[in-house]
Amino acid sequence: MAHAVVRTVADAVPGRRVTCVTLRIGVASGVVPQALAFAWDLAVAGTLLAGARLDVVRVPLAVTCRDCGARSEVADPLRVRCGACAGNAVDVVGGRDLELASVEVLDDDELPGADEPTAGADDITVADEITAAPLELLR
Amino acid sequence: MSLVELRTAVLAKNDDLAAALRADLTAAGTTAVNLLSSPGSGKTALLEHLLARCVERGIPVAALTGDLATENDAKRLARSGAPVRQVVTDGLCHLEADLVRDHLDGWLPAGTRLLFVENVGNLVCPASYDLGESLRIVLASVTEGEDKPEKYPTAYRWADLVVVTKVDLAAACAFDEQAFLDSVTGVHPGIEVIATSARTGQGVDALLERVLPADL
Repeated sequence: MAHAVVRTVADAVPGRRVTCVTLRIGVASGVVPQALAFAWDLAVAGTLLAGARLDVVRVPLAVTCRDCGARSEVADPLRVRCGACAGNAVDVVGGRDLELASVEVLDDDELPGADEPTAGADDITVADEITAAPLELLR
Repeated sequence: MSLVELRTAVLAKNDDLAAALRADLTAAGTTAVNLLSSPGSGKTALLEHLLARCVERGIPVAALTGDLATENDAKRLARSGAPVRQVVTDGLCHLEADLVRDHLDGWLPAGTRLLFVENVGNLVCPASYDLGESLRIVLASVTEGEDKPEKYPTAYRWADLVVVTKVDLAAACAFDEQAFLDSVTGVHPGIEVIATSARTGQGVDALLERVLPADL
């Protein structure tokens, strides 16, 4: 999933150095922000997102009620009920989000020099570091 | 430093591919069914029976089966006589729409009315990936405990149908059916639940009737 985020960013702002990524993650999206954060550094290594901060905005589960028509946020995702009448004839209308909300990019006059990721043969070295990192973490 | 507002779905590529695949399959008269469950809950055993019933009744059926490795499931399922193709994901823990499309292209027999897609055994990531199916089924075996829906709410929340498997073992493992139904209803109010046993055949016909296109 972290790789999917990196690919989506790369497609959205091709060639730009990215310093911060903001994601909207629904509580019913199946994506756990902590797990994504764990994979983040590995996924961005060697890309134009290297070193970028990850900001996550959680989106609550929202339902509309077929009985009373109210739209409400669900307090307990394991007890899905209408927040107005407590009925359970509800349709989930929000909380599945997994959305790239915004990115912060460096402007042309801010482009870094020495720490800029290098293309070509150096990529192979970076790939080795990616492979080595999880093993380090497991020890 | 500039802030660029995007509001782009992270899985937009998969979702777009899945929507196109669903449109193509629907236009061809094929109903695709995505089967999700944890490993060992009996997807393949149930699918063996479903395929065999379809073949007996002359219903044009086919199946894709996803696994990290081996062609074992495809070999098992092919004994039914239905066209079956293995998707070896080589470590990927879920199927994605492009994998499904690539394996269907040039293989899915024309006139197929019912296509089962057996996902990789996993209740986490498969829940996030639309495969172009018309019906998503999550399976739970009685041996897994009654609170499975609360432990994997996303899989249950976005399913269209819940199938309980191995109900022939329910008494042996003191499966509390009401507790399971309460757990299901908590995360997905109103979802339909069908009890099955691949060993005794219980519920297999009821499930088939539920997934068959209306004109069959």
